[in-house]
Amino acid sequence: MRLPYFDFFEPATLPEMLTLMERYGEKVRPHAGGTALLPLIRLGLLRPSGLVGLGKLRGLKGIDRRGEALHIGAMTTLSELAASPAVRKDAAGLHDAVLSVAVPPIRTMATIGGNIFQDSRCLFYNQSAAWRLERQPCLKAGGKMCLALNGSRKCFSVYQGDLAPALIALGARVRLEKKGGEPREVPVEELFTGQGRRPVRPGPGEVATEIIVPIVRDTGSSYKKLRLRSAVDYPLAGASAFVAIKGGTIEIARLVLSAAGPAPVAVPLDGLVSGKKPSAVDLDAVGRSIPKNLPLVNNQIVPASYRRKMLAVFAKRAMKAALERV
Amino acid sequence: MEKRSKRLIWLTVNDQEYEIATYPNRTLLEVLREDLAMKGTKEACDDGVCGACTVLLDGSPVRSCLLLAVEVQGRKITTIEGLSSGEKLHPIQQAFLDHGAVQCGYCTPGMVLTAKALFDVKAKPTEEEILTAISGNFCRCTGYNKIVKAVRSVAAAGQGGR
Amino acid sequence: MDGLSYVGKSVPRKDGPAKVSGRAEYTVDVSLPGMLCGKVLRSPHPHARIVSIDTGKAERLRGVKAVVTAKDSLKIKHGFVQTGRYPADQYPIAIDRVRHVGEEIAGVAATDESIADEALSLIRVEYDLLPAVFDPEEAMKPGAPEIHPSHPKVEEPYRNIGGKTQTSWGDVEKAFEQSYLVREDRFVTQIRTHAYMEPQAIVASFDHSGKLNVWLSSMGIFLKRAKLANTLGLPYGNVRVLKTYVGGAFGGKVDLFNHEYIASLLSMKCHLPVRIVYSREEVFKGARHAQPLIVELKTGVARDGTILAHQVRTINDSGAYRGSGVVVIFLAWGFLMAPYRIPNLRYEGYSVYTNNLVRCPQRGHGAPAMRFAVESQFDMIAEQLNMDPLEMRFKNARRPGDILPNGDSLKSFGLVRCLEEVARRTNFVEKHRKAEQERKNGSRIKRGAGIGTCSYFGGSLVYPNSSSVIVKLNDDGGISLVTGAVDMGQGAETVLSQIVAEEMSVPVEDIQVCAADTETTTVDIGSWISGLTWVTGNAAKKAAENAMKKLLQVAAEELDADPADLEAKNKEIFVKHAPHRKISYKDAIAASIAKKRGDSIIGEGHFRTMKDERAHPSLATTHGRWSENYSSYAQVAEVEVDTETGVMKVLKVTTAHDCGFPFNPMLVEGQIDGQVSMGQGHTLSEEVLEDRGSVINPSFLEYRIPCATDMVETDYVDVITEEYRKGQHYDTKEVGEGYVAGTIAAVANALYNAAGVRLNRTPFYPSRILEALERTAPVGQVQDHTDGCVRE
Repeated sequence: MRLPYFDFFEPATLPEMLTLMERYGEKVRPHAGGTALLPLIRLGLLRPSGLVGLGKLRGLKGIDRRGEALHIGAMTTLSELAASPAVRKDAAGLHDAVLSVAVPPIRTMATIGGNIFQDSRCLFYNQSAAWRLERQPCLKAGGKMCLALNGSRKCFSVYQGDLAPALIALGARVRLEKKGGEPREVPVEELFTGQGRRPVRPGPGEVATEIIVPIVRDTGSSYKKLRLRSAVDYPLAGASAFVAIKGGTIEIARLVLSAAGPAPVAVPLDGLVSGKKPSAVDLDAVGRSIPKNLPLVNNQIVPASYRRKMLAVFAKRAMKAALERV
Repeated sequence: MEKRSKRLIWLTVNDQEYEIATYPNRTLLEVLREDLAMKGTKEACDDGVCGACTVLLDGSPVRSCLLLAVEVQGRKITTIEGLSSGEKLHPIQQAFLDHGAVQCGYCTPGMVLTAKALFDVKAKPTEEEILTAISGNFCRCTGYNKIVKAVRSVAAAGQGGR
Repeated sequence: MDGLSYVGKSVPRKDGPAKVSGRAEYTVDVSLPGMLCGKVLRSPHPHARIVSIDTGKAERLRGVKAVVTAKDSLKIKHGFVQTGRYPADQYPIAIDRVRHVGEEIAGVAATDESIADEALSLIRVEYDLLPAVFDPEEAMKPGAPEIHPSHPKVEEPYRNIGGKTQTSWGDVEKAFEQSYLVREDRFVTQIRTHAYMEPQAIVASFDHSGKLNVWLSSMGIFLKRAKLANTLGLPYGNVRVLKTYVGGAFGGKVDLFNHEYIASLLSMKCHLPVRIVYSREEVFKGARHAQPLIVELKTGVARDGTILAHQVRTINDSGAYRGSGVVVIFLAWGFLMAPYRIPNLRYEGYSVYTNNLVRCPQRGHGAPAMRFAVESQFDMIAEQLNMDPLEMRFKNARRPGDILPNGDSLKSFGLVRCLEEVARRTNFVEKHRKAEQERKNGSRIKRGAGIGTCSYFGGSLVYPNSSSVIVKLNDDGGISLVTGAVDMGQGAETVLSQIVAEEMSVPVEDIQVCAADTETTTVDIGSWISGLTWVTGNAAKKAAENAMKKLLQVAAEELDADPADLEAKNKEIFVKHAPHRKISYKDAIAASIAKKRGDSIIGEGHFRTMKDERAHPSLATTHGRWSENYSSYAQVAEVEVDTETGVMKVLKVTTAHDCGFPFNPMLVEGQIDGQVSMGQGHTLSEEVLEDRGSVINPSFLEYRIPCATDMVETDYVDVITEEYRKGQHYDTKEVGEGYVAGTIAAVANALYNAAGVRLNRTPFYPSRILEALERTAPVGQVQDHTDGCVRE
């Protein structure tokens, strides 16, 4: 399948890149690893006139420990993250998540920034122009209604990125820069709109340049993922957990669900975990505490009812693993 | 962005430089197969899943169907054609033949390159490392068993396939 | 097999070096000067009348060299089956009606892909939509939309019947009355697909001399040539199919496909080469996938587990045309009756039209569905009788020498030995018992073992019905082996070389294979129904013997000896009792040319099975002999189930196989490994999802074939029941298809052994396993889990 024609820009500096993004607006897309972008263009779901390559920009790569945080350039590849001893030691949940993405060659090309900003997915959305000729396009593809839940005006596509849930559990932030403006840092969860149609984006004219992961002492974190095969696939359900211990008691606890809707879902733990000793945590109660009204429909290979059950199972497994790693 | 125009690019493939005029939307896979007539790298899917298009980029396996030719200038590209020197097969290629790891052969170039990249990093990979390394190369004929046997035999020889 | 030098050895592949160095040429690699990019316009509707097609704008687009529609066609139908009862039923390009999403309506050829795509979008088609039906049981009901009239010979008032297979023997009703136990179950298999790595591809080049040269990805070039020639109105000699390597087929590249016709027609119109290669999406949405089958199985057994009767009904959704549907319902009967003795049987199978994609054979073609059903039910019955499942199989397995109800002899059938061997190798009985005991012990992870058997037939009569081989000696003593056989990965070229090497005492390296060209090579039966090694192999043997005889005759004259006193070894012929009297092949050939009428040494051999049969058995009645060789196997699968998630892993499959004798043990093992993997995919994760006739998971991300980290450990035991002897005809059995079915059956039984979950529908998604774990279904109930993933 060929790519349609597009122009390709390779700015050498960030200001140059931001200028291009501003000048061309919606006509161009940033091009990082290309592993998510090119398939979407082949499907005709994105039709940019130009791509703005981020590959030549300096300062967007690297994993640096600075003070109490890991600073990760947005163009750092997943393979580089996987090989980093600092990530493995101080952000185990992120390490788990990175190793669970796709397969090694994809990890060599894909970037942390690209992975966070991936679009949500659905059996009825990720299809080609030829497929759309056979029926109306779905809501997310510009049509009038959702094809997965016939007639609905709400989009039920699923955000299936593995890294974002782990980053949110770790309390990570993203640094966003725009032309002529001050850079700002936002918690990763604030990037998500909660809407399937446009689930995750930086602000207008903004580009993510860095991900900052706080390093706290005496922590444990993990990411657990369900899929039918042992590699290749996006998550059908998953969870990331993070706990920080002080004086033998859990001080901070976070649990974030993966593939539970158009955004990662933070699970309110309501005293089930913090304040307790790790051995006293009731994991079954943690599993039961996942939200009841998650927007899941039958748009994956296994039914929504099953995915709901598995979110609870994987919430428990993620929390258990995080506690064991403290 | 109004006019379609080709770029003149230099690609380094199998230690040789090639000058190519191409549109920016062409993938490395297309350029290899169509402009450089290197047909060993194959196309078998549309979305970078199957691994038949595997080439080595600066020694690491990548999906040439997801790379634009214009973005890999100045990088070192290795295709299956670059592995054997004349008639003499690379030890990994020989191991594939000796262990019955080839049936229809369509996935073979990608598999062999991925194995080579593995050995360039580690001379004696574990079973898990072997399976993980080739998890991105689909094979429908062999069930992977004899491919793993072939790679294992190279690992046992301990010379990193050299 | 004493004294053999090449046959029976794991000789390395002939085409191996080309394949590992990326030099092997597949159809997708063929490039000709001026070659155009061809594309096919497909119906977006499952059922519609074509009111008009306007190609004017497309034809006028710059860069478009040809556009074809039905008006360029001779309107000659083709079909997988073309017999009196089942005449060809499909036009190679739609005329006034489309019956499935993706049906081919027009073709364009342009100078590049983007122009071809644009040309397609400029073709204006006006459709008049017709009601459509997608479920075969719905399609059978009166009042269902009529896709084709039901077959005139089918008396029942069912709609959309493409064909029926019906046979019976004994007295089923009486047998059920006498049975100690009768149970009835229904089994459903999903639509799986081949997922060959090389997509459908063709390059067609029609030159000004009226010759059509074609490169295509196929399993048998003579069948493709015949059907192309017939539909295009060309003499067979004007259609040349040239050799390419094939990147996998597994049954999906047998028959004529409309895109091949369209590429050829385009080339005939513009006299330029036209290339059509499917994208992976197009393979999923436009190519043919496997035949799904519903099996309703009612079985009566005696108290000791002996089968007394089977009553079986199968329903096949063949898609919008007959395709191979009428074959799969016949074959399913074969796979039912071959492994175990069945004294009373009533079988009926219906192949039903629906407005879905047309189906085709896939590795096993009916065996996976039928063995899944029979073997699952066997275990259920064994449990009800409190019997060991292995014991029950010993009781019922056919023995060597049994004559099948259709008159075929089982000769050397090794099923009993296979069962013994596989049970011994895996310690099956103990594992099975232990897993039963541990089922309720509260542990999260459960392991279990299950057994499955299958029998497969080889070399049956399908056009062109026979193979011929020529062996030519070059004057330096090397050999050219001329064969029409296609090597699609199974190793045809290697095995044939081994045979000729053995017969002619020439090293395998000195044999050049010239293969797979309809013009320059000999006719070949094709690589399906697992006939190649046996049919073409015997032809090669005879050709080699023929050449050898001529060579020995000349040598005898030169050495002044009797041909019976001569022996050949390594391209030399010597007198047995006086080995210093010898002559090289080279000198013998020179002598032949000098002293005879210039006779070079050429051997020819032909072979066909079932010499006393005119044709294959009746698909409708099953009467008539089918095959001379029945393979058999028993497989044990060991699985692990996570009872909290329902996720199952297939850990190991052990196969005891009676494949006759293995010509090349390494190739045989490779076939087993590949089929175990395919069986694994079938049971765990593979399914083509159709929604109103349109495939909605057309990618390897959503059609999940196993990857390397899913790899199943495999082990094998040879049960050798035939022999290869020089100078004698050999019988060998198939090895390319039947292991998928046994694997599926074994995994189904292993799932039950591990977790107490009995599923009658594949794939065994974790959601289905979990749902079954959460409720216990009573034994004896008809189970049909219908939680398809795209219905709320």
